[in-house]
Amino acid sequence: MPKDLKNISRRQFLKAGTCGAMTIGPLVNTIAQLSLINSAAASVQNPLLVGSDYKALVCIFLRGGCDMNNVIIPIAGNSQAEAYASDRGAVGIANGVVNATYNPAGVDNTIPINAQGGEPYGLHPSLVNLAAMFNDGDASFVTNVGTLAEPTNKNGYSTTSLPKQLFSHSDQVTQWMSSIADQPYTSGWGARVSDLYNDTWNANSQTSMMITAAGGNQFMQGGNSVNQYSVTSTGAISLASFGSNYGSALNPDGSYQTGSTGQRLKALERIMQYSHAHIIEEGYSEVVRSARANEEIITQAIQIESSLGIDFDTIFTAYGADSGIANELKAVARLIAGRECLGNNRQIFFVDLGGFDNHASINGSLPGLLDQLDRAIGAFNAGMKELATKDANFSYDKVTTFQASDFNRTWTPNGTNIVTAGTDHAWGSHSFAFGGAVNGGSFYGAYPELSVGGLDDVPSGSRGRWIPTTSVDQFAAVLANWFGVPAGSSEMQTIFPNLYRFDDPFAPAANLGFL
Amino acid sequence: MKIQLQIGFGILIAAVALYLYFQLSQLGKVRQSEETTIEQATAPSKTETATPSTKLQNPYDTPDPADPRITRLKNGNVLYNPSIEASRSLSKTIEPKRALETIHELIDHYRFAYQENPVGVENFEFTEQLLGKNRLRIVFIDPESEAIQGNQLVDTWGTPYFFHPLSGQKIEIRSAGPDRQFWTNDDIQSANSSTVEATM
Repeated sequence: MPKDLKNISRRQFLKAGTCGAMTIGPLVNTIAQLSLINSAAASVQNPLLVGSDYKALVCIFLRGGCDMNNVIIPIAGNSQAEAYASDRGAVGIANGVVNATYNPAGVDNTIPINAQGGEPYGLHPSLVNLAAMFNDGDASFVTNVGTLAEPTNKNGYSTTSLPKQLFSHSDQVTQWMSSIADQPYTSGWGARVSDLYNDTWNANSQTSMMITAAGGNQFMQGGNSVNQYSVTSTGAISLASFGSNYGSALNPDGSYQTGSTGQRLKALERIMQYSHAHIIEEGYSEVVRSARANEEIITQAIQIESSLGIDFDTIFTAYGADSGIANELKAVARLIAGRECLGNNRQIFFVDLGGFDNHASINGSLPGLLDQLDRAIGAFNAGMKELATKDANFSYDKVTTFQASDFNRTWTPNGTNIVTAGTDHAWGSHSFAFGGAVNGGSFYGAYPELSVGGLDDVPSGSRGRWIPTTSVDQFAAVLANWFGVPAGSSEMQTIFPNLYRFDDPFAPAANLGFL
Repeated sequence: MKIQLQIGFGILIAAVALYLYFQLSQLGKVRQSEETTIEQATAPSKTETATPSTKLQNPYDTPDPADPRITRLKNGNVLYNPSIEASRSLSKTIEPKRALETIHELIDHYRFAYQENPVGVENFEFTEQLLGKNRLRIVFIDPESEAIQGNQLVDTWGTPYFFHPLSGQKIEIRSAGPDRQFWTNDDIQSANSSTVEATM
């Protein structure tokens, strides 16, 4: 923001957020595409804007702090299976170990996975598709990853710098998305990647490099040159009060309807074509025009699937994936299929699923949530594989999807009643990634010692809050590197300013070669 | 001509000297002010309050031993008197909702001092920080309060409160209520000092 307000440019003014103050809602998403208005129509007609170098990064954020201790479960034969059964008590999944109170028959309800070179583990019984993806080599886990300001451990916990407001929801969400745990939030790491590389990667860009199907998020906020663009699960966000997808204002051929709603839209669009001397008036008009242009691009992109002979509805239906996050991922799948319309060689997507803050009744809540997630990712993964068979310019390894959450939850429950017990806020968690580029079927990072008061437990209290052994910075750096940010580059340092504090994530010792 | 130049040069030198003198005297004042601040910060502990010498918005921005709101103890702890006073209402007979409001008030005082809430998720973590286990060793709750059992803050039925940190500025506090079981219909919770409500 320039200090001399007399010399402020229109673009600077708009970037400073004035449009937000004008309550034009989702239209601000398009502000970074003001220069693209004239090329909007051309983009739809030109099918060669995106080459074979395409890559997409998809972030799935599980809001509330998912209990990943019940996602990866040590089962009978694992040296930590006994601890799981005894410590998790009322919230534990039957893992083949006898627990006199909660599993007297020693039943194993988990879905076994074949972690390479490791002890036996199972996944939560709701994660049928994720288990299959893991066993097929499509998915892997990075274990005990979390926000860190600098490396720490049990001995250094009280003397090292810790993430700001450790254990609070919004702060930990922010730090996962910014990858800067010791500073006030200014931008997400997705936004910083876009800032540095959008011009290089996306020379023919027709819309934002960052698209969210889950509304505004901090992962994509704060950039200087690229703003996130919001879509709904069915496509672009239309101007309000003209019917769904302008159905009350436009005829199928695109002409205005003769009714009052059609004429109102016609009048609005004509007004928006006027030039204005005042920067705010002109900025508003530009944003509206840009929004309409982006709507056209997104709508065209969403429809590409049919020309490719793909029906994502059928694929998602086959997986029983009809939840909110399934629809969000379906929209992402359609936009990936229609990437030629968007004109971006690199694209970042964001979806989310809430409801994981299960302080109470976690046994009643978590299975359903994980089921929604599992069906959605199973369908999305199948959709990407299907797309690879139908689109000659696309292959399964072009898309990498990763998952994150506020934090893990406490190892020990907060009650003994299987109906009411829940788990509380903790720290180091497990994140999965899947896609053709993922070195699947393995655990990366370091799996924690599942012991209250053990080596990985926060030395305060006795609930089992694992101190992360892999930082978000390291985890995200590997993802960014796959996306195209060179390891060891100044750009990598700019995107992850605290990365130098941790072991090199690209060195074998870090065990982060999941991509 | 030469004499005029010499006079002019002399005037210039004098002006420079006056300017330097003025600047140095100002610098001296600044340093004196800084030393005063350091002295205040390192002043010996006092066990009694004093009359105010300055009007501070936040007693911790610039420590002032004479600030009536703080009482320095010989052990190095600092009592924040408004918070201590408020905490004394946390008796076993206090109305439960009022007790929750009061705990929020104590946390408000903590946030006033540190610009953020205590960090943690376990009851004892919050309680210990309110009892002075914080960077400046400020005590926000009377250690003799009836609401402290062991190292935990308990409700009027003797059940430790549940603290739920939403952010660095906002926290929910839950009382298990008369049945002493969390997540039942008689729970009482609040997100701040003015939104206490029975909930489930």
